[in-house]
Amino acid sequence: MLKKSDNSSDIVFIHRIIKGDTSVFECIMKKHGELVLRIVKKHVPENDIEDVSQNAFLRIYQSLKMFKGKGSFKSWLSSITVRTCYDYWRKAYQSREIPMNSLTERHRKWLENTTSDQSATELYERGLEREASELLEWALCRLSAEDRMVIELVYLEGYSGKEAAELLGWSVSNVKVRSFRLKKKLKSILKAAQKRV
Amino acid sequence: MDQKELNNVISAFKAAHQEKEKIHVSDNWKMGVMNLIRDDIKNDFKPSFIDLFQQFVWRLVPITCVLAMLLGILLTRIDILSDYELVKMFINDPSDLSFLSLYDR
Repeated sequence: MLKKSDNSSDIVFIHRIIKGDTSVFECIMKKHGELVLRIVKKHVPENDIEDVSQNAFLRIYQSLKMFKGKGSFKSWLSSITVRTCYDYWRKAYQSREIPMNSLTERHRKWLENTTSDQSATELYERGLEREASELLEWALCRLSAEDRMVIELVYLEGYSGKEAAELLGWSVSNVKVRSFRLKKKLKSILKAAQKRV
Repeated sequence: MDQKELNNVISAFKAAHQEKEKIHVSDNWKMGVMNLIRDDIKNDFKPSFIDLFQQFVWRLVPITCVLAMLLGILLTRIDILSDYELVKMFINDPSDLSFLSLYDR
């Protein structure tokens, strides 16, 4: 999933920024802004996308000196962005500012239909994507910030355990053990959702 | 809920998760980034309390040296040692005894 890319132009930009030409950072933003935004959109609620993207770029700017140019700049950038999103959730959980939506009969029906033999695309064609995203958010809010990141990266975005570990800066075993346990956790959360409504 | 049912839900969740990419965000946030960076640079140049304290302390060093030298000179000029010996003599030798010895003579 993580592709290696040509770092040469990025390294030129970085050297210029380190020497004091801050305006060059706009070039990095133009080049990689979409990538950062895409990552943030997937991990953070809509209202906070702009703030978290700004924080991610500020952290990227502050860490530029630490980029040695050995790996891909895009991977390095993605890693900082994912960690910024993780920090966002950690703070949100600490301050208990998690939006807990409640489930309705629509969600139960959606869950019933989905667990039966219908494919995801079929459900989308029937315009049931809102229920899916609401139920997903409901389930994610019942997990810790760490579990949320692992489930999003491994199960929803298809990163391998090693890639997710690199992005989060954790050990591979930590991510693998978490992702193994998370399937059981998710199962029990969804069971509770079926009973709750 | 068996494994197959769970996989169905996860694949539906995957599709819902991918949909998040379509959220529209205006480009205004990019302007904010450059402002944050400029603020960060300003904060870098702002000296901390310890920096200010160190500057202040080092400026006082020559004044302290001059004061120490003046005090040294003053101590050599004033004959503190003889005064000290005189006081010591009175303390060790009570005054009545000294007077008595004087009358004895």
